[in-house]
Amino acid sequence: MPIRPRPDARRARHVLAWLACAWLAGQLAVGLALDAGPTWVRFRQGDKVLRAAHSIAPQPFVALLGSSRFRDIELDALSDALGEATAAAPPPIVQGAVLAGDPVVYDFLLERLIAQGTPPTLAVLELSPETLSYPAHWIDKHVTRMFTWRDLPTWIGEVAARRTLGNLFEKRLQPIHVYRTELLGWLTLERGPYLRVPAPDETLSEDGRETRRGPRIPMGAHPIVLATATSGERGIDAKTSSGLRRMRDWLEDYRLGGGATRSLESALARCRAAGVPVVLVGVPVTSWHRELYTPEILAAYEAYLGPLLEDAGVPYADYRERVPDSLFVDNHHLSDEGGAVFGRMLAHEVIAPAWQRARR
Amino acid sequence: MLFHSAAYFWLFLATFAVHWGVLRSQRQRNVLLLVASLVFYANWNPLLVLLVVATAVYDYWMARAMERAPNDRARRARLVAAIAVPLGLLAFFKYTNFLVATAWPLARALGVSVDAPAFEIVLPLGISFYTFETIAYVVDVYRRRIPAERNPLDYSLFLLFFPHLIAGPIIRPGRFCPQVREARRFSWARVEIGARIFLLGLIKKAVIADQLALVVDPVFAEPAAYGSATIWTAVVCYAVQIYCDFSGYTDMAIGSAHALGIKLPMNFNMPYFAASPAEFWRRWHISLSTWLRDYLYIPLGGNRHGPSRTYLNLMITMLLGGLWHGAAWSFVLWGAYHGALLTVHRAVPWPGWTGARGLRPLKVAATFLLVCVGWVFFRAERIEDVGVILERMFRPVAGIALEPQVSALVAAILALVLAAHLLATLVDLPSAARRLPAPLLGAALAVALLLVQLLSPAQGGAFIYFQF
Repeated sequence: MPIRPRPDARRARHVLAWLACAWLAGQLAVGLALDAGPTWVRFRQGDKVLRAAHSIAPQPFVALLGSSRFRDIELDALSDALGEATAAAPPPIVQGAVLAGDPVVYDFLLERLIAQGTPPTLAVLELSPETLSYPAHWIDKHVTRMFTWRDLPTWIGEVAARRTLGNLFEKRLQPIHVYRTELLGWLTLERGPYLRVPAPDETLSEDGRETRRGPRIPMGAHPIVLATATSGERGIDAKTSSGLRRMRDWLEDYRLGGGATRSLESALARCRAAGVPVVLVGVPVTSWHRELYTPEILAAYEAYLGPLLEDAGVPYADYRERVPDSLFVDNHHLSDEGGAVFGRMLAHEVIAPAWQRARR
Repeated sequence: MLFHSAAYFWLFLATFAVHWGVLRSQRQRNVLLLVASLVFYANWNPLLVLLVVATAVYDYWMARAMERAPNDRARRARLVAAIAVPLGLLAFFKYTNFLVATAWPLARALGVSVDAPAFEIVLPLGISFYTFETIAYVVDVYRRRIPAERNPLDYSLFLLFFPHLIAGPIIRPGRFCPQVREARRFSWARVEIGARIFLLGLIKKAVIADQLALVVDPVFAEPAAYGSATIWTAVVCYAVQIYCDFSGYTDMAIGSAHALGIKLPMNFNMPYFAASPAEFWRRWHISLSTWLRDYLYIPLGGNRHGPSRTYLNLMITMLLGGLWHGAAWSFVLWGAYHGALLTVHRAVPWPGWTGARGLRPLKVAATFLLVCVGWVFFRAERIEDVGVILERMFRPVAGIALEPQVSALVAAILALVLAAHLLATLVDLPSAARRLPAPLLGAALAVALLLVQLLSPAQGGAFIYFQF
């Protein structure tokens, strides 16, 4: 484009002002549309949970809600063990654990599950000291996936405390850029990439789903570990070491409270109001991970949890020390084998009794 | 730091605000631009910024020394020294591994049985561009076209000014330095024009080039797996991708500089509407082709010594032009191919009727086809792939095909680019924009910006010419 000097400064100012205003108006309008839009546009994983529940209802089901650590549970092993324990056909299980899933996320999902008329028959909620910390560690993800303009006054302080205000403003003020993939998916009803060229060595399965990480663990192959876990034979590998480093940063200057505890209390109240029984589960972690829980952290956690459980009348099953270190792939994620062992323990000790109580 | 990144946006915004809003003297503004340029480069590699600074200092000093030379002989010796150092640095950083890889098979043939050494050399960003700029400067001083710069700050800014530092346009000191010396006045009109040019570049880069890369990259990675139609599609897409990528970069550079009160030269003039290879080079990467003409082709003798010498000069110029792009045989072949095209175009006694106006579309199409064939040499990931791609282009072969909806989308993008070219040829767009009411023009620009933000791919790539 050739450069031609133009003396009309007033007009140029107006053009630039209109550009800025129209750009901002466009961004805000699309942002509001995204806030009001369906869950799948911004929070695809969460939407999968809602859809899974919708496909099962009105049949009673168990919902597992938590983080990637709960996603490691081998559902087949859990389901088989549940059938064994209840001496009946096992209830359907909705894997509602999502990446970066904490009480804020499961309060959000429970609200929608109840609102869409598919409340779980039993809700099993993952809990750990780190997911109750202030400021919420995954608040950045929550800003991206869940928060709307309406949530801003409640959360802005905690977002600032987590030092991610820039991310918040980016998501709020230029959603067209941040959510471009999601928006195009919404507009075209098809996910990108739209200019995909098949590669010669393409090995995706026909339905494009992820493949399993390993072979299914056969029933009864692993006994339930009842003893308190020890470090076992597994040493600290690079992955564990880096996970521990991150966790150490996470737990530094630990403070319990804020949005995470508010959301946990809200989730419990929501379930009580909807008549959904709840079990809280302390998620298994390695001994090295547990060493990062200082006496002060544990004291704060227990001091908060005790009265809460008593008031809400909710059971708490603590599995933090129940799985040996050899059944983890890092500091707090279970291996396939560990997922099967934990699933069977959870089925026998927690879900089966709670399910039978809930069905009575 | 990419022009379409948040980091650049904030750097530019801060520089712009301080440049026009805080500083009043020209000297302070130049210091600011220099500091911003150093930050811009150091963001990639803080250490290698010293290399650019050292080159600037050296050639500033050598040009002054040239002026003080007692006689022509001393003057020439200082010119050689002034060119040798930046050229030596370019050769070291860019061509060492290429030379080793080329020389080693010969050494082996002569009985040397030592393994070829592999040097881990980081190629300084923009070295090819600023080396040519500094050579242009010392040669112009030597030829007494311009006086040597008195102010080291002004000369450093000529070389380091961030909008053109990494990938041009290759600027001439005679045009740039006076702008740095003159007082710059803020003008909303210039800012608006700069914003429009920048936005145009952003559309070319983020919406067209980066999207087409999704089609081009897999095909050029494994060309033997794809059918002829897919290969043709990828080659044409690459022709459009490299144009939009490079001219998009240039537009963003020109737009940024314009808003800061500095004019950079135009680098592209709808090259795919050229009706001959010679015209293509007058429209494509204009700052490089004019540099090659002024500092290589003409000093070699140009067309002043008969046809054979002219053809030889053309071939040498284009071969070195190809090698300038990259240290690989594929670039040398690309240069040789264009040298051959220019030579043939010049040598053939075209009959008079071929100049008829009605034949121009045909000639444009033929030139585009020839240029596309050249891009195969330029883009092929391995030299062996050139043969595979060319064979598949001209002998129908079955292989992996694009899905119909992908083909349709690609066709739509290419049609959009063609339509924009035609529109820009048939309509005086700047005049048309001037006639639009300000709110409408502002809203149209905002919609364009929003579309850029919506359509830019999830993983935006670096500019192709950054590697040169």
